[in-house]
Amino acid sequence: MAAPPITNTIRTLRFMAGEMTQAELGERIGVTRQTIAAIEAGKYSPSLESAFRIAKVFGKPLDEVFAWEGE
Amino acid sequence: MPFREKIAWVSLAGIVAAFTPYFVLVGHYSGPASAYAGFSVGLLIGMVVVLTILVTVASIGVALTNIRDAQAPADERDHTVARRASSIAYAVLLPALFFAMATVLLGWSAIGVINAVLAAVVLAELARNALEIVCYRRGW
Repeated sequence: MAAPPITNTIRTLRFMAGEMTQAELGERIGVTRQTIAAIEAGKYSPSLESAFRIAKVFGKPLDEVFAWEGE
Repeated sequence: MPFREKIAWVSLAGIVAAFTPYFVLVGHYSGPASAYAGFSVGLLIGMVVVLTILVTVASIGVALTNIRDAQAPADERDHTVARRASSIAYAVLLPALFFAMATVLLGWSAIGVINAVLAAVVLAELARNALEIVCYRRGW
């Protein structure tokens, strides 16, 4: 089970948002803290809806939060 | 560790703890043939009771270690993990059930066939719980 070829900047964005916790971000988009941790670690690719919600929390366009690294 | 991964560990351990002795004892039964069905059914009921108690107590214990996680509804990742694990477990269940049905042709007794079907279901449940754990730990 290889990691999905999607990278993200959520950890950095959380830091820039005043050290927002994973639990706080999870609460705002409707997932658990562990799911945010899995997304950050590249172990889980969120649904398109959650991806948009995460981007909206940070006020960023989707492609500034997630990037496709595969071919 | 996600709450639902802990529950998958509890279920996996419970199934192993309850059904390993069951199948070992049923497989090594050496009493009178007329008592085999009663022995098997009685043991099965006992093991199901043990399994229910073990899993319930352990699940309550796990929930008490982090009540907030336990109360949180399943999110999209939980649903995806459950769906993926169930679909692969079904692929385990199907051939195991065909094998169980084939035991009729091998001349197994009715209780033997029932045990083969039970083994197929247990195997699929083991696969489902193990796959959930793998999905949570390693992603996909």
